[in-house]
Parts: sequence; C-alpha cells; structure tokens
Amino acid sequence: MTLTTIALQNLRRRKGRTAFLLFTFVLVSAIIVCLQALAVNLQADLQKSLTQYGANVIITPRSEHLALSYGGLAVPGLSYEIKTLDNSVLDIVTRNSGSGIQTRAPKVIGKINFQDKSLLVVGVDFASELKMKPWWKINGKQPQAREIVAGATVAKQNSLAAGSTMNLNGLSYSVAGIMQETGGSEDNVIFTDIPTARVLTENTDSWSMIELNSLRPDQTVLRLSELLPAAKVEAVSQLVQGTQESVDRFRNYALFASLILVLIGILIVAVTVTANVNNRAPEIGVFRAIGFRKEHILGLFLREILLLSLSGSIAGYVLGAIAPPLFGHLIFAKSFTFHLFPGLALLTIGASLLLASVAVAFPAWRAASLDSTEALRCI
Amino acid sequence: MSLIKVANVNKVLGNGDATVEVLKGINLNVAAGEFLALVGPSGSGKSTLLSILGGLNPPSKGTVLIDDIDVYSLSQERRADFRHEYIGFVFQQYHLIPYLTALENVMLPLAITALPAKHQKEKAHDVLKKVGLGDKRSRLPNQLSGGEQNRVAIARSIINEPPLIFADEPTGSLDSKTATELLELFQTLNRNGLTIIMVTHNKDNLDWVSRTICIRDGRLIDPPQVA
Ligand SMILES: Nc1ncnc2c1ncn2[C@@H]1O[C@H](COP(=O)(O)OP(=O)(O)O)[C@@H](O)[C@H]1O
Ligand SMILES: [Mg+2]
Repeated sequence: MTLTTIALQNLRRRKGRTAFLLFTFVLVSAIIVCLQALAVNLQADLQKSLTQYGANVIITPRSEHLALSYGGLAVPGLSYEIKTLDNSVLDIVTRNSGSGIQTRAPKVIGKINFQDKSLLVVGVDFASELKMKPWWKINGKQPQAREIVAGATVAKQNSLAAGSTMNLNGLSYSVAGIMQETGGSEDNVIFTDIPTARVLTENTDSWSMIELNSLRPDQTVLRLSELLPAAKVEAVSQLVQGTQESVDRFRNYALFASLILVLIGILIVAVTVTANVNNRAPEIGVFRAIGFRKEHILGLFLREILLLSLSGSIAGYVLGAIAPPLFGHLIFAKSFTFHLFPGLALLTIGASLLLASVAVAFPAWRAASLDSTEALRCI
Repeated sequence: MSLIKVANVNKVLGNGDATVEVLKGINLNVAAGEFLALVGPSGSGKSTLLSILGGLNPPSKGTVLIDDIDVYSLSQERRADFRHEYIGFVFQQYHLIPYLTALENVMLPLAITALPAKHQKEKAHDVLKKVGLGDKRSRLPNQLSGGEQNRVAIARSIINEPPLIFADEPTGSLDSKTATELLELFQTLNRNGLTIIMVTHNKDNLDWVSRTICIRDGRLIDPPQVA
C-alpha cells in the first residue's frame, strides 16, 4: 500500500464527494473548451466568408485624375498611364501584414494594341488572385510565359479559343484558356502572368494596383495609409465588414466567462476541500499518531485532488471539444468542425492541476500541522 | 534499565484564566517487558499522560525519555518518525480509517515504508490471522463488530513491530467475553517481548497486568490504592 492507494480508496469509497468534485472539474473545463471551440469555428467561418468575398482593400497610385474607364473596365482612382506604385510598395505591404492581411494580389495593368484596337492587359499572380476570386473559372489552364487567358467578350469578338494564338506587339502568344463570363470587367481584358504583362506593357518597375484581403480592413487601411503616403489605400465596403469585431468581442466574452468559471471552480474546490479536511481531523490525527509526516498528509490530499482534477479536466476537455461538432447544429443551425486544440488541452489540464493543488494545499497543510492531540481531541 | 523514564512532567491545559493543571509532577519509570495498567477516575489525566508518553503531546514541564531518547527535544517531524518506529497506539474508539478495508487499515503504518506491496500484504495478513481475523480482511470497518474493529486496531498497532503499545481504554466498549479475548492477546504479545501500557477503568483487567499505577487529580498515587 502506498499513499496513492490510500488516496484512490478514499475516492472510490466516498462516491458522493468524488462525483461532486469530478463534476466540477468536468463542467468548468468542458465549458471553457466549448467556448473556445465556438470562437475558433466562428473565426474560421468569418475567414472563409471574407476570402470568398474577395478584395476588401485596394492600393492604387495617388492621382489627381478622375477614375479612368477603358474598354469598359473601371479602375477606381487608377491612372495607369500617369502614375504607378513603386515596386517597394508590395514589400512594405508584405512586411506589415499584421493588421489582418490574408492575401495580396498585385497587378500590372497596361494598354496594348491589337488589330488597331486598344486592349487592356492585366498581369496577375493567379494563385493569390484565385484565392480572392474563386468565381473566376478558366476553360483551359492558367497562362505561363508567352501565354494568355482571354476574357469572355474579348474571346468572342476575336473568335479565340484555347489553343489559338494572338499576335501582340509583334510576338505570337498562345491562348491557354478562356475565362468564363463573369459579367464584370474581366470579360473585356486579357490576363497573363506578371512577367509576361511586364514585357507586353513595357513596365518593369511598378505595380498598377494591389488588391488585398484583410480580416480587419479598417485597421489595414489606417496602417498602410501611414506607411504609403504616395499611394491611395481604400477599403471596399463589404457586408461582412465588422464581423471580425463581433468575433473578437465573442472571444473576449468567452475569455471573461472562462475566468469567472475558473474562479467559481477554485472556490467550490477550496470550500469542499476545506470542509473535507476539517471533517477528516480525527483521521489525520490517526495518521500522525501512526507516524505519518506532514508531507505524507499533504501528499495524500494532493494525490486525491490531482487524480480528480486530472481525470475531470481530461473528460471535460474531450466533452468540450466534441460537443460543438455533435450538437452545435441544433443551436446555431450551422455545422461545426472538430478541433483538437492541443495547446488549450494542455493549458486546461495544467491549470486545473495547478489550481486544484493551490486550493487544497492551504487547508491540507494546516490540517497536517495540527498538533496531533488537537486532531486526536475527539479520539 | 528503564525503557521509559518520565521526570517531573507537568501539563497545563486551557488558556487565559481558564487553565487547568492536569498533570502535576509525574515521575515514572517503566522497564522493558512490563504490562502496565494505568487506572484512575474519569478526568484524572490518564489520557493526557498516555498521549505525553506516546510523543503526541508535549508536556508543559519535565522530560520523557524513551530508549534514552529525549522525545520532546525532537522536531515534530522527527517525533513522527520516532512514533512510527517505537510506538503502536490502540485508541478507545479504535479509529480505523473508514474507507480502508481491515487489511488496508492494518497495512497503514507500512504505507510510508519502502516495503514492497506484496510483502506488506503478506505481513498484514499474518498479523490479522494472529488476532483471529484472517477471514475478514476485505471488510470495511463498518462491516465489523466492535470487538473485531478493536482487534484490527491492535493488528495495526503491532504490524510495524514497535517495542511499545499504548492502549487507551481498549476494553471500554467491549462485552466481558471479548474483553477477555483482547487481554489474552495483549498478554501473548507481552510475553513475546512487547511493553504495554493500558489505561483502564475495569478492575477485572488488573488481574492480567504485571503492574498497576494509579493516578488521581494529576498525581500518581504510589503504591496503587485501587479500591
Ligand atoms: N483542552 C483542554 N482544556 C482544558 N482542560 C482539558 C482539556 N483537555 C482535557 N482537559 C481536562 O483535563 C483533565 C484530564 O483529562 P483526561 O486526560 O482526558 O482524563 P481521563 O482520560 O483520565 O479521563 C480533565 O479534567 C479534562 O477536563
Ligand atoms: Mg481518557
């Protein structure tokens, strides 16, 4: 028999008290983990909808000119023939992504001549562009060097199809794909990758515009406006704008509620344990008379509470993590994904062990320090 | 050679104006192998003296030497170790741990030793058999009769093989037949070398002991005058 056996037997044979304390640990950790799971799911939802919505911050060169419209493409504030964004602008944006910037889509836009008409070439990085514009559907493939993707209208007017060629600035470019009609300005332009656009438009050192997707568009605009005085940074108003604030607020509420719960938990455990220690004074007296040291008594109480808080918080964590995916749709009419939260699991279990030990240490130490005769008074 | 030497022990209890001098100048020597009865009226200080002898309760004045160790010069924790090594207690209410079985209660003093679990069990089972409870080792205290609980308490007090047993009115709540069985057990243990000090109320018990000392109003009365 060891101190651990004694602690286990007490837990096993005093079922009511064990169940009550266990329930406290399970409940507190389950609610905390559950709140966290909800917050993470809300955040993921928001991210998804924000990215699907597309760009919400646009950086263009500062221009005195009115917005230009060319071939039906209206680019707000863009005066591509006069002013451009210095190459360093993208670096500055990249270095300052802290304000919630998720995706950066820089573009090189320019006018070229094609069969006596002017045509707008838009050079993009398709990877980042498609993240913001998932509605872009290309029949064919994305363009490589010396390849283009034609907008739907351009393709129709010039009878282009994937595999045909276009002669631009005296060089022949093959059509890698045709973009399905979007009903927007995309229909009237041709797309290339950025290096190709730079060659076609003879623009080697600047960006025409940079579109950003940010979780906190207002913050991003403020910050970048400061950093980029020569550029115009604008938020594109969006329906989902402001949602991040609600998620942040929910997180704060969740944190606050968790703290309160932890306090209540400590209080319940401390009160229960103190009462329990006092009830066990004769028992402690017997242990002391038999020759148990203070550290043995303290060790007994710590073992009991650590066993309880360990099993309670693990069970609570599991419950809290699986409850949202299992039952979330009943309350929120949306499905939740399961998250493992290894950090939160460690934190919950660790904090539970620590706080439980703190709650039990004082009364247990006091009890162990009782003069044996005090403890044995009732013997 | 005395195993226990008590010199000029005084004990004042209570605080402020309400102090009581419970023990007044106790001097007592107990030789190894004695079976001593401590008798006296209720409230005369028997339990207090026993707890002082047992290293549970520091005297207000005086010294207690056991095996030439000045018990109260030891720190509290060293005194706990000392009790573990030297003394087995049998309390009046037996004070078994309610959530431990008979066997586990008997093993209790071994829980803070390095003895492997298997040997602990064997040893506890042997001792339980010795007190006649080999078949009831898995019972909880509330499933045992008073006499059985008493024997578990005795088994617990001797498992660690201490040289001394202190028992406070061990027969107090037993019928005479069970009480006799207990005294027989004590006598056997005593014949095997244990020194036993037993507080008792019952005159019949005095036939079993090797010496009787009497306490009245906190003083030892010598020679014993138990009327
Ligand atoms: N904490 C205390 N404060 C004051 N008096 C006490 C205290 N504990 C015991 N006493 C008194 O000390 C005396 C001796 O008690 P005790 O040793 O228990 O006697 P016995 O065991 O002989 O009946 C009694 O009169 C009792 O009332
Ligand atoms: Mg008494």
